[in-house]
Amino acid sequence: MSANAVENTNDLDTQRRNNRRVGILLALFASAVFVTVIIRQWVSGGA
Amino acid sequence: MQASHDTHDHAHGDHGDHAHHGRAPGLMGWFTTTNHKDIGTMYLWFSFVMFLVGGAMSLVIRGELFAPGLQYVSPEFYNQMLTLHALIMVFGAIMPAFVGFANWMIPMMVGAPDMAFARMNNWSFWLLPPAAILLTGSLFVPGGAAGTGWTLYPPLSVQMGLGMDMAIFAVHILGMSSIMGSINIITTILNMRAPGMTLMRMPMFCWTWLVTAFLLIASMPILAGAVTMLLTDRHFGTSFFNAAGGGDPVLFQHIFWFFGHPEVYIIALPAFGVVSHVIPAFSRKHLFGYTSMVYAIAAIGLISFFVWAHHMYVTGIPLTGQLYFMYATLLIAVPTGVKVFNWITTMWRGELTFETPMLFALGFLFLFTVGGLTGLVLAITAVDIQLQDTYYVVAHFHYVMVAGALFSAYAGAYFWLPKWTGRMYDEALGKVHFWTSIVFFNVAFFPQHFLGLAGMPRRIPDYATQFTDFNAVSSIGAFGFGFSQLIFLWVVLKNIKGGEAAPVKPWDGATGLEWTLPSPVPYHTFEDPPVITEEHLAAAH
Amino acid sequence: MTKDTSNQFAGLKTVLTVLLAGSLAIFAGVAQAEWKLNLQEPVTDLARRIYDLHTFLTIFVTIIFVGVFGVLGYSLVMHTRKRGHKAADFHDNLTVEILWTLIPAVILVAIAVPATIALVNQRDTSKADMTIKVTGYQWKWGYEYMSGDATGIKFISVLSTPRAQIENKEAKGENYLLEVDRHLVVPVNKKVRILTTATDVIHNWSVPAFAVKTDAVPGFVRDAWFKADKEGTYRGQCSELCGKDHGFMPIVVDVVSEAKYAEWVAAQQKEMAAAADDPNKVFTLDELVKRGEKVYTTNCAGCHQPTGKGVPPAFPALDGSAIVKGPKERHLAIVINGKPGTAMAAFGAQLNDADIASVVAYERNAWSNKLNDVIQPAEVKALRGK
Repeated sequence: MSANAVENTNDLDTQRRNNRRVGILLALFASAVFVTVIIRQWVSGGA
Repeated sequence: MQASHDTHDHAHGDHGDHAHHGRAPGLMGWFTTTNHKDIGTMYLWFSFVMFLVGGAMSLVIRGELFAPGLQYVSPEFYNQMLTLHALIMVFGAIMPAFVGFANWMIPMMVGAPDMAFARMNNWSFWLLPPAAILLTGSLFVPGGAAGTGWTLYPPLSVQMGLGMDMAIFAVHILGMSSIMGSINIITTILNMRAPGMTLMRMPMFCWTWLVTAFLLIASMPILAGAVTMLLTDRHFGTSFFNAAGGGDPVLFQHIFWFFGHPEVYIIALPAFGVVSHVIPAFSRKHLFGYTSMVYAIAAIGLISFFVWAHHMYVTGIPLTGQLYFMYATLLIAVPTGVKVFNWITTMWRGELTFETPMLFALGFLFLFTVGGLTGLVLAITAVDIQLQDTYYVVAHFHYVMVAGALFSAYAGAYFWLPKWTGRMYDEALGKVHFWTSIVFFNVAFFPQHFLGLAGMPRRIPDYATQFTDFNAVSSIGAFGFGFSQLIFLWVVLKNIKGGEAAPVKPWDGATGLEWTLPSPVPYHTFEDPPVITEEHLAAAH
Repeated sequence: MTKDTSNQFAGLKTVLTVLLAGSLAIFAGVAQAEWKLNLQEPVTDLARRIYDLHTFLTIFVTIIFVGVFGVLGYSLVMHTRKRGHKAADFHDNLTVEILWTLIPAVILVAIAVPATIALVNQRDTSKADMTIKVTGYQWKWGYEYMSGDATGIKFISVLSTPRAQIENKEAKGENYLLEVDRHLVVPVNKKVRILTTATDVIHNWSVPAFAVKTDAVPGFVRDAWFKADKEGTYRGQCSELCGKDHGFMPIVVDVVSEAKYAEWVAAQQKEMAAAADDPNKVFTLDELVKRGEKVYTTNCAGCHQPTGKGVPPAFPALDGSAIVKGPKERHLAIVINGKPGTAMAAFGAQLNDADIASVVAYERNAWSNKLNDVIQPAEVKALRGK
């Protein structure tokens, strides 16, 4: 670790939070696409 | 900016030291590693092994097609081979190869210590081997593997046996792996760039992967949805794709190609990225038109979602549909052309040398352009009706996919190998690899244009005698091409064992942060963000 | 293979030369049987239009290719370190970039115009002189004339290349894999509308000389048309992977003069009348087995094999099968209605009562299934629709 560990820890928390936010958003988007594809066919009378 | 493996360490304080040493010893180390370089290496080896497996299958196909008549395999087995060859090459070889490059290079290129989600990264890799086992293992279950072609069209895929279900689950797993990998790549690129590495100063490879990862996240769930519906049609009595129950078999094709066309660019874009590094390096010039390259990539990514039905011109879609998809497909030629012109202008008035990476990049440019131009011919609906489902299409997409993606992957592998292993590869062997590959590739695939024009359908195990000669030539080329790839294995093994030590920057024209690191790169890099200076940037401003 | 760059260019040049020569050969239209380089000879106006469009496009893309790689080739030769060329420093030029975005866009619009005209023409199936329904089965084609004098003529067309030729036990014939037992016959200079459909999986009815290629989708009807202006025999193949014998279901169309067509229609109708079985005819076991064996070879042997051993598990064995040796009603029902979700077709739609009765009788008496069952057409008739 570098000398300014305290600063980095702050950065690290922000970083983790930001990463998690982006990651969850993307995962939600992927799930939404998956569900939409199936629902769309379902309501159009497929199944 | 901080390391996410440090994140890991802070979460488990007692592992404090771990991050500063290598991975755990032995095989367990590879199972548990969260280091982006380890994972990149595993992706690359996995993809090469799958490439050889898929390649062996293609030789079964070309062996059978060497002469008319049925010689070695039954038609059922032939269909299984062509299906698995495609699935393995697309999902097992080419996609993981570029994910491997992304893992290795993106953190180093943007000045990040690792990928954003290091443990998820481990998981996205370790999902691949089970999927590969499901796919290849399906050959050995009763009824064999799916024999539907990689497009898995129902109702044919509803007729298949257990092998089909295994392929469906393999696709699910591969899709999950790709989505997790993409989430990781997007987050790394958006959140973990070193200060001063703005988006428009990013190396082109990162840009291509950013767009590719978005394409993956938007398109893989579509494929997963399609095969899930196939699964319920097969086993749970739904009729999504069964006309007798109110469904429509062509609906599957729409969904499949809505995934399938972006998939083509998922494969091509990272290849464009690699070439955009190699060509400037060996031209000793900056990439021409960086900004227009970025816009072209984004345009290609976007348009790729609106051209899917050009794979379906003969399914009876309405005239207005055919016209729209023809125009949209022609439109995609514009940004693709811009990229080719930019690469050529990058070389113009440069100081060119022709080491192996550059040769493969030039091979890519040459073959990809051939494939792109035959794509223009195929885009014209009326002409496509003569060529659809013939060998012309087979030739076209092998020029785009094999040549486009594989040649560019080789360009990247030779380019960055000294950085990875810390040793120079055998240049003479590399050149032999290139020349045998490009010659045999053309011998194998160029005659297939003529076969297609003469009317030979694809996916047939036997053919009319008028197609004999070109098929024989094509098979000879395919075997030559296949065995040439073993030269690469030799080059890499030789390089791992020994060789001349590589300097920090083995290519004098190379630019980018990765070339500021020692060769071989240390296990951990950029734990403190680097200071970005103009000369470190791959892009000129 | 050497470090000498000039040799590398020799390689690149060779590849370019080969490609150029190949492309020129296309334009020359070299039409040798063995090394055929271009589309099949078109025999309809539409196919000729498409042929010309393809020739134009091929020349056009070849010019682009030669132009682009000519520039690159110059650079690869002249701008090298070996020649002592020093790298220039430029990396942006807005004018050039706008130009090479706009010029291709304009060229593409120019291509799109003739392409659109050809396509609109291709899809215009109106005002047809006659209509033929084409049904794809695994793995054969069914034809039914829907209009005009020939209305009601229907038959199944199956590959006639002997198994021995495919298995390399005999020399291959002239039309190896492109010959069928019954040709589709149409008159010359008449607009023929084709309706395609299928019963099992997606097939594709394709005859390159007519520029027709249309999917046959189960449960749906698609259409296409052609107006052949040259008499002759034209051949095509199924063009959508449809399972095991996808490569073995060719299409053969005879285009004949009006007079010959009328003759053919009359002969067909006579034959059909003669072949129409008396529904109440009572067959002997011998008659049934003899007739059944023929039906079996054409319709069943592809999957269940001439030996009755099948290719399990996809295509079950009939020899010793529980269904074949079980009650005949169940056996008949499967043959008539098929087995959904498998390649077993509903033969009720393809075969008449006598054929079904005889093939079932054959299966129940062939190989080790010596049941001595006699099945009469009347029994089949009774089971239909149940």
